[in-house]
Amino acid sequence: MKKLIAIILFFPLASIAQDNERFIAKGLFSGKGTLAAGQMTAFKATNMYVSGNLEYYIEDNISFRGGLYFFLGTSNAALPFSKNSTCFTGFYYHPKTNNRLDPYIGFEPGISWTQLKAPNNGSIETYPYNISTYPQSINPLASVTAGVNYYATTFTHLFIEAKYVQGIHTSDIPAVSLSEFRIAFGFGFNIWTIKNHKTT
Amino acid sequence: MDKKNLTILFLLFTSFTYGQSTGINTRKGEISFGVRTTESLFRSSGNYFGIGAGWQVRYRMAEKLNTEWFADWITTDIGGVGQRYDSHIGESMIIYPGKKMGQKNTFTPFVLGGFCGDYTKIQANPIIDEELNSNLKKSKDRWSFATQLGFGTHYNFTERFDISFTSQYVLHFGSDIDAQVRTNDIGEKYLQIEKEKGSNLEGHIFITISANFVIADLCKK
Repeated sequence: MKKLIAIILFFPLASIAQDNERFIAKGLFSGKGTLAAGQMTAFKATNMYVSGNLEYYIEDNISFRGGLYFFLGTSNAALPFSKNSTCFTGFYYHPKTNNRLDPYIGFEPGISWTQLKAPNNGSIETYPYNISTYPQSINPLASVTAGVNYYATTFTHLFIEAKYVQGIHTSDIPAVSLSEFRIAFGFGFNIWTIKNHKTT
Repeated sequence: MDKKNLTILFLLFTSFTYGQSTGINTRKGEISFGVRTTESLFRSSGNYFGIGAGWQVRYRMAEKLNTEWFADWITTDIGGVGQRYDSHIGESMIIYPGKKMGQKNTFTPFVLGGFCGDYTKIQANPIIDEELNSNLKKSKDRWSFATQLGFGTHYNFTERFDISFTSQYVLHFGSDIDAQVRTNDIGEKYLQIEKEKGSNLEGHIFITISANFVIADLCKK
């Protein structure tokens, strides 16, 4: 089943990579909106997000991106979060291709807005969790991203990407790792901001 | 070598490296914007790594002389019993000793040194004080100035975009906050924080990865 899903996801990208001219160039503006899933690395927990970003190609193979991950919930968590939204800004490098495929790697520092879910009333907690107020916290993050776009038409594209996020949630209890692998795929829109753009 | 001698050596070395010939000014006037991630290791609060994020702007004064203006924010977990928050804002001079400058797909090594202002807050997780029958939550903060020296390299993906790797030693001059992990009578670990009167030196290692893009060239011919 997993192989089938992978084939379905990647087949359209491979089958339509037939052009011999690069699509992306300086002046392309794109945006993405989708759902994303994250697997935390320090403990068993899966986070769910609504994510979106805006990206501008400041050179033929360099883009600047700003994005948000709005937290929806955690499942299977030993320390479940009630808040875990993040935002990132950074640069992306797009190796040259001769078609509408656009692989990329990115480096994005960011910040997180996090809060652990307080235990239910009546549950027994040990020190220091029993005296914690479970406050909200804002913390810095580091991240790297790799993915691929397929610019299907002049105005839309498909994408799939993976992101590794590193950080810690600090509050009044021992810090909780925020490190996780995230995956997102879906489609986005794109427009040209330069009329006579030159593809390379 | 004690800390004072080390400081004098840093300052003299920085002054010496500023005095190098600047060569042909082909990249003079470039302004770049960058984002950065930092890892910091403070010895005085125990050997715990902090993770940070920040931004920076570079202004290239000459072909072999660049300046970097940065702001960082770092959080560190101190052994599960407290947290350390550091904010830096400062400036570094970057000297390029090599001959190749910013050519595509090449490394450009550099040495750098400078100064920064720093705000530090160390906060202990609450502990139960049985005599007062309450939870104690301690924190101390301070402002300090620092000087830094290090080395690194740019990797130039294009002539306008680079990823930079930097390692620096930062020496802070300011009031001393002593934070030590202790164990109480019933075996619980806690963070003891004391703010000493007078000034002290505190050093830390500072590793930075940044991505930078040239957004303007003031000396464009």
